[in-house]
Amino acid sequence: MAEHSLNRVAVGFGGDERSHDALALAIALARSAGATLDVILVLKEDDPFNQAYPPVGNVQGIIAEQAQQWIREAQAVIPAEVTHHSHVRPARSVAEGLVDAVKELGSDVLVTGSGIGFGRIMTHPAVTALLHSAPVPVALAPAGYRATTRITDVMGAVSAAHPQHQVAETSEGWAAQLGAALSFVTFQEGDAASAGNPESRGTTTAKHLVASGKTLRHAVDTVDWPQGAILLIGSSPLARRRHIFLGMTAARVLSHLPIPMVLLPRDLDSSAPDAR
Amino acid sequence: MSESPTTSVDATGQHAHSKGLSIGSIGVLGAVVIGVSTIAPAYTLSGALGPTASAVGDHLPAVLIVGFIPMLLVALGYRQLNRAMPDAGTTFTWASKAFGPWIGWMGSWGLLAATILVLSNLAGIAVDFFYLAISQLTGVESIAELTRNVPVNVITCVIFMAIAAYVSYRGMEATKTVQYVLVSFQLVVLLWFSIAAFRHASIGSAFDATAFTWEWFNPFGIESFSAFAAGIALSVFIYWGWDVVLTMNEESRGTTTTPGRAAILTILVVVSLYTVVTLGALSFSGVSEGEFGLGNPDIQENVFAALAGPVMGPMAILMSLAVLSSSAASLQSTMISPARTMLAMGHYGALNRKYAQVSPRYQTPAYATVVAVVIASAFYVVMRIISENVLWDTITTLGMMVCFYYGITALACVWYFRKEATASAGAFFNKFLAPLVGGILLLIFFCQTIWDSMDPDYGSGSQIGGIGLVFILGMLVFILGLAAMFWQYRKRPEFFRSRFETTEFITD
Repeated sequence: MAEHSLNRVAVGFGGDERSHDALALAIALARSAGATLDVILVLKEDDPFNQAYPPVGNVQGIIAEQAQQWIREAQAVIPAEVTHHSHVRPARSVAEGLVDAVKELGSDVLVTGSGIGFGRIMTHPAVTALLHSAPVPVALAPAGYRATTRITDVMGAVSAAHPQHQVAETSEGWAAQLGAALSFVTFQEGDAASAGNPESRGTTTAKHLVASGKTLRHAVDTVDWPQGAILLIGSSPLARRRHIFLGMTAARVLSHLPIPMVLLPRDLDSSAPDAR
Repeated sequence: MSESPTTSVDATGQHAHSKGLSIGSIGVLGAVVIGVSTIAPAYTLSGALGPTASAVGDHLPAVLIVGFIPMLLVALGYRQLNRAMPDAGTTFTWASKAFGPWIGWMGSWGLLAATILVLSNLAGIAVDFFYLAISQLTGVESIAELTRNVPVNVITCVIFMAIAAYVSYRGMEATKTVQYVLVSFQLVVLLWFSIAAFRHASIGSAFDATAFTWEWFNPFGIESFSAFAAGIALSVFIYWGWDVVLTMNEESRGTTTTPGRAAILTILVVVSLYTVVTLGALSFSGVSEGEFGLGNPDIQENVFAALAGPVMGPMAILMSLAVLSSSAASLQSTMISPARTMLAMGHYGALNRKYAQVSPRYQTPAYATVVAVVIASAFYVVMRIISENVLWDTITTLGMMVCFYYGITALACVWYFRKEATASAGAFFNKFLAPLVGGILLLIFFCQTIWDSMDPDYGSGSQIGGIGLVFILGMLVFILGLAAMFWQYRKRPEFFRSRFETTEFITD
């Protein structure tokens, strides 16, 4: 099932701390999946409508040189067993450059640092833009994320009301390829959160947790998130087909989640009959 | 599973020739908008009209038109250098290449000083109009007076600069739409101001209705060469920035006439706008020293703040908003300038390597931005405390500095191209004659201004110990520059000893 497999992992890298979080996650993903890693550094181009006053020289060259240094730092961290390529590409915005790059490279997932997690809110405008427009799954490394060498658990976030087949299927595919344990989580908010038994998911024997609490934050806190886990979550119905869009629930889960979250594009293949 | 890692660099590599979007994809109109937004007409006129009027009286239109000529001549040379050595350092790189590291360093210091000065002046104008706008909106007149309260003024100004530095560090940008809106708004308000002024003059309700005379356009009618030089130095500042349309990437799509047309159109728009506004202001106010006269020292450092009310009536709020938005937008783009110059100097080892630091998060020159805003703020605070006419004095010094570094740049062009200049008539004009004449003129105006500014009555009349403040400021800038250069020579002699290298392209 081509749609579920991870052959090319792309990571947006910029030399800052958050980029190193992202790189750590990308390495773990690429290594577990046996995928190729593409390190993408977007050089921000000047907007011609935003000239310096008074006019001064173009510093792109100096920044490009600095970018080479950041790329070398990234390459130094990547283990030899992971096949990797580096790309420095100019673009008008970081998000734009990353989206173009993943389209061109045919990446299966785009990893980025979020600066989120542990109650922190996201700060980088590029991440915000990506979370509302990327055409591929976006994996967000929480602040301070450092490798665990491999991905040990793939957890799919499914809602009780509408079991999202898409998330379930992708989770199954990823877990199989990454050699990780599969489980599902349903977040429930409010006092009336029932701890009823969720329906079992197809033929799989995956564990299904119900995380409930007064607020989503409490619900997230009740789960004992394994160190090497990633959480897959679906896009909001607002998303354009085959694009991602961070929904309300996902956004609130994201801000308290201590493990990486992978936001999946809408309708990856929901219309297609499952070939598995 | 091991494969040798590869790095593909899609970027144009170091010291890239490309500047992103070409002018062809912007179009003529876009290029004009960029050119006009870069000179920030509402801010520039508000700050520089008064000091210029004080120097040349009612020959204001003449000096504004004549002042454009040396600027244009130098810009032609600037464009040639930018083609041959498209480098982050501009003046610094070119003068170092032509005349060696010492002159290159000082030329760059002139540019740096000018950008720091304009930054503090811009913020100062923004503060005036900030309180004026609030007072006009609320109808409480005392609020406009807050700007005369030194602590309030200084604190507001420092806050403005800090915000601009933060925006610049974050790499946030005004978008195309914003620029179109800002530029149209400024043009509309400035034209409105001029028409209203003419109307007052014709119906006799002007403050000092002055009949139009062609003598206003006669540059030879200016009383002395000193006054002429001072006027030219100021008009050079007034036009500072339009040449960006010349140096934007010239690889146009399909046509090679777009950049030329855009440049000519920008020149026409700017020169006619300035002429119309000065004619309007002269017709309404005259050059007497009366309350709203352009010769009144109390209003000269910020003429629109004083004149917008009597000329535009209740609509004066529009002028406040135009100048405020123009200076707010310019504050951010002005912050980029010194930071990038320092980045380039740090990169070439002419300053501490720290200045070459680029923020990995936002890809902006972080350290240089902080240093620039700290120096500009400190400069403004000290000046505001020692001089009541801080804006006026900085504008005059600024004109001087621009003449200096543009003059050096123009002569660097002449020297750099000395062997190629005879290849064709066009090359002779663009690479030799134009920059030579422009450069020499600017340096003459520079020397004359320096000499005259020793007089304690020069410009605003601020003085310390019987010597004009503008002269002291200018000298201080140069002495500090020399000191900093020798300090760098002791700390980092490699830059001064080795031959300066940059990527060079053959131009036709």
